[in-house]
Amino acid sequence: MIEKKTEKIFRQNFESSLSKCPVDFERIATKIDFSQYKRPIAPKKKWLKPFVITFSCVFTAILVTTVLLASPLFRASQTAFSSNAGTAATVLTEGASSFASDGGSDGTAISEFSSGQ
Amino acid sequence: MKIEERLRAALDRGDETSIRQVFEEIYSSYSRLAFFVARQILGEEDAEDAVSEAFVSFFDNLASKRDVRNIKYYLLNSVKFISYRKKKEAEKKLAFDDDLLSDDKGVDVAKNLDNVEMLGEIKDVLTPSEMHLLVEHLELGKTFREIALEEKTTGSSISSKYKRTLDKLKDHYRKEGRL
Repeated sequence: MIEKKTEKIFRQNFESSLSKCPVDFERIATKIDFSQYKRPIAPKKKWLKPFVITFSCVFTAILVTTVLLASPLFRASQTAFSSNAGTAATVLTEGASSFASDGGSDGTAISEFSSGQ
Repeated sequence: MKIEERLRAALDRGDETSIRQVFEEIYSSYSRLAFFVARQILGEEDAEDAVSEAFVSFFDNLASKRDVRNIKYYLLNSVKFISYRKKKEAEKKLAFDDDLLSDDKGVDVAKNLDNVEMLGEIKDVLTPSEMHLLVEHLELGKTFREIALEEKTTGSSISSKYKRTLDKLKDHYRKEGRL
């Protein structure tokens, strides 16, 4: 707080001690073509910003996905997954067939399940 | 309403009278400081030209650009750039080949002020480099990092130097009964 006050006093003193610029505004004004400002500014394209943001997000997402899909790591994991899926499918098929054979012959599996075994 | 907003509103309306009024207000607000900046680099006559050129180019550029976030910062940088360019041109004419930035060190701020007495006894309390630091940071709005880059040192050393300077100033104002 005291620092701010010190800075404020310094600024006030400094600004009042500045020399006045010998060039007056009228001299500047004669060099300015004021007619160039007469045309009111066109309204800002407010839709442009969200459009650009959305487009860049979608583009980045596509780019990241493409890079990931093309990466060797992804390919390796995909191969591993495929082989695992094959194994799982085999186990399931075997299980299903044994269940069917059990249930088909005497219903052991169902009775075992019912008796809590 | 800030001056930047008033300028934008006047330009949006396209009304010549209000644009002229805002321009005049901008000029009266910053011309003294701009002249001070130019005087640190150039002699009086060249400094006048530099200020004039900076303001005319600023007002002319507004016709196409129209949106300036910090007028003070823009103008002071423009004045500084034009002043260095003029200085370089003058030095070329005289066939000198000195480094332009070499004169920046140890600038005596008080030398370019009209009413030095307005500063009180500060110029006796602070060294020229401390005065320079205060003016650069408080008046010209430079960050410690920017000042450090110019003086080829680190931001933290400038920051501690600033704190020391402010402490000296605080003690001085306390003695004067202003704090």
